[in-house]
Amino acid sequence: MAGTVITITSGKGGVGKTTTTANLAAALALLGHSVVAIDADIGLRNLDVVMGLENRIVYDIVDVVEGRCRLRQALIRDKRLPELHLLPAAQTRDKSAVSPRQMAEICDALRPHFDYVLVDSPAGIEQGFRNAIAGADRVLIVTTPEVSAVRDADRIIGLLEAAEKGPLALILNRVKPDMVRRGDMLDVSDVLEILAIDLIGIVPDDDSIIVSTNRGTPVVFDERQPSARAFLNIARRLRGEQIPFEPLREEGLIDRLLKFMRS
Amino acid sequence: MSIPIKGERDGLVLALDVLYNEATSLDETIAALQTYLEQHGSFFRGGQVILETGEHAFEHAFLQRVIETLQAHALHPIALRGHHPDTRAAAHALGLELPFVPTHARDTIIASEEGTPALLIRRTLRSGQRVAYEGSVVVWGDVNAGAEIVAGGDVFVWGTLRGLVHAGAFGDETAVVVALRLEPTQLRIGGLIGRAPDDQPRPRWHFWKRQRPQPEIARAVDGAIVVEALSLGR
Amino acid sequence: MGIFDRLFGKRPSSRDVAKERLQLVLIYDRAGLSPELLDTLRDEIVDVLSRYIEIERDGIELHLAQEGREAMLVANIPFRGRVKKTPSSHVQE
Repeated sequence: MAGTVITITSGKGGVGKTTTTANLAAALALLGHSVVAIDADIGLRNLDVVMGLENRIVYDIVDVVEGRCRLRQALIRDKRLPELHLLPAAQTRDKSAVSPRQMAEICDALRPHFDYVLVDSPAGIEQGFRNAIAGADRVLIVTTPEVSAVRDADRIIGLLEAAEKGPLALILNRVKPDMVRRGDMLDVSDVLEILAIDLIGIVPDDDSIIVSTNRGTPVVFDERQPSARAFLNIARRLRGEQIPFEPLREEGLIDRLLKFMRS
Repeated sequence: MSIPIKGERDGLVLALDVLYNEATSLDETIAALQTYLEQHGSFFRGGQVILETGEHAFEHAFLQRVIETLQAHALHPIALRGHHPDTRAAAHALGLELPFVPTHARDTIIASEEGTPALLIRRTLRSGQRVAYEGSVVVWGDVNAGAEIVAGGDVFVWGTLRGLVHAGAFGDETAVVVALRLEPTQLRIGGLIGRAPDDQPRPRWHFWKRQRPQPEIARAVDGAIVVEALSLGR
Repeated sequence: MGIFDRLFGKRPSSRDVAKERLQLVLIYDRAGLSPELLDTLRDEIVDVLSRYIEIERDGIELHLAQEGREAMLVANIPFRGRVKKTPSSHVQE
């Protein structure tokens, strides 16, 4: 059975695309699927460090496109999950080294061998973005509850609709329940009302994300973390399970104490 | 079609990259060169030619055909100017000279005792920057993660090496990599690849301990890359 | 914002401000319409309409609204009296 190509994009930079890609890829692999994550941010690669695989790179996506190696040779197997793979971006080249058509060909070549192909899009709406969506069967848009991020997400959704890419779904990242309660942050309902697309996940703001990036271990490996549960839920929804959206719990005194003792 | 051969200060330059961009295939590139030489080749007869390849990756077989085509019209290809490592490796194998194309004002060529010159880089190489040179490379600065050095000979870093280094890139496994602080993402010597073990955290730099940096040397020993403390006078 | 301001309803929460600003900016983004262009549009619509009906120029409201991801141009045009029997051919400047 052919796999699904899912592109993760956002428009605005710094909203958590790469973290989301790494965690969804790992979560799907944890659920027993074969997964490959593609870093489409040529010239500013990052997925390799977030997944902790930066020192294993021998060939990259530009080497594949320019025929210096076969696609299989450029895939890096994850050190924890044998079913998880990374196709890294090149760091010393720029976006123009790969064309949207070549990207679509790579996605097509990977589709028969994996259950899921996840593509981490660069920020912006230029060629890197067009590359990233070229082969997509589904697109996940990541945004944070901030005016600038939501505005850029809207722009991206408009472009995706014009390109007839889809289905589209939204991931609302870095939600802070206590700020929402105080009326100082846009709520999930506000963002959904404004963007008018389907929701596939709400990820709470979580300090353990920074720790996991420091270590190069996606946070989903530690299921106690609130963001890990959110990413696992998104992965389950991606494969068609009906998972209700849990209301985000505020961090109480006990949580903080527990966290303090764990750290 | 634009004019593919131009006279420059260094001699005749054949813009192979332009010719290739205008053609749709390698065969067509050769055909276009052939046509041009048949019409205008006698004008350049006997001249020495530098091949300009820009960023393109050209294979040994293609460059050989270009050289043969030029020679058939009494032109002498002597050197290649281009940035792509594969093209440069192929040119090297075909005996073409590879004049260094400085990408930065602070990069200079220095002579070495053994005759092969080295490239001296007096700056820190940052993520995304790449230096390729046929001889040895000396960096007076750091090599950050995401930066890349490909050298035909040895690589010396008078600073911290965190990026990727390929020494002996033409297959020379006697090449070495030396750095004041050796913390590379990955090291390659000749055809060998080495990386730090996963479970071993890199030693942390404690400002209160004032450790003295321990220069290290990486070399190929029995098919593996081995790192040891650098002791001078050995 | 202090707790008292909110208790006495002096200032809306920053969440409400954010939502309102976003809705407004997106309506213009999506339609690719600038406020200046909207003013011109309004004047021209009024000119055409006033050839057929007598309308209250000052009472006209024209704005963009959102429904789902579609932008809508909403006009509220109060008019006096009856439709003119023969349309006046001149266009008011």
